[in-house]
Amino acid sequence: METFVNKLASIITSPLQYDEEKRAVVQYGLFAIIQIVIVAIIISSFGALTGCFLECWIVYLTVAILRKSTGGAHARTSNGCLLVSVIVIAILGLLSRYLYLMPYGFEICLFLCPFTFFTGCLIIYKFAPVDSKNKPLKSEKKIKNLRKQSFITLLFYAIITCLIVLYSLHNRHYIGFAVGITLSVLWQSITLLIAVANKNW
Amino acid sequence: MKKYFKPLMAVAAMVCSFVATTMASSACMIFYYQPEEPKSLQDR
Repeated sequence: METFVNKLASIITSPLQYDEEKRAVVQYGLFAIIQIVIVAIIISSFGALTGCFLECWIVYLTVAILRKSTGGAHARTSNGCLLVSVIVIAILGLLSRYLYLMPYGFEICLFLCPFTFFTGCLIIYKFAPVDSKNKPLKSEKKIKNLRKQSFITLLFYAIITCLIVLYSLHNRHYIGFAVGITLSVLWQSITLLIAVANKNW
Repeated sequence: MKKYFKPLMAVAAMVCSFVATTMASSACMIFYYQPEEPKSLQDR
């Protein structure tokens, strides 16, 4: 994927006669856009085939928005990253959609939501934000801002989840959305733990 | 078509630069691969 992005960045920046630094910025942004679009296409197709389209998108957006402020573990290659993203979103999407249909599934979901959300919040409170070798965080001000953003995002998710859980008492189908949000928070907090463990090694 | 190519590329470059700047202000890219950040976007 890097080769493709590199070629595309050259096509975009050559007519504009950008210098190396500006070209690198365009390439960096292009990489993000292409990743987003490819994952969106794959999970949309998977969600449409397995009947969990909305749940997959909820997981996708929940993880992506939270990850922007908390950081987390990274794959070594972009293809590895794609694979992990798609697999995780698919599994969490399926769990969200079909867990409540199991025997006592609804009750399990009602217990799971606050437990997983609370666990995720604790881990994020302890470790966020986590930087990486390719994107180090040096500025204290930036770290403080990112922590603040993380907590605001979590608060927003908590409110949405509570509202969905309350609504699902009348219509059980909607509990899947709450499960999707809380499992995404838990998954993101697990990637934080992995990132911290990798840093310490 | 040729006369629109350069403005089109300029718009594409602008969008990519905007996304890059947004990513630079966050802890990481939104997925599990983090390419090296350009020097002009790095935390100093």
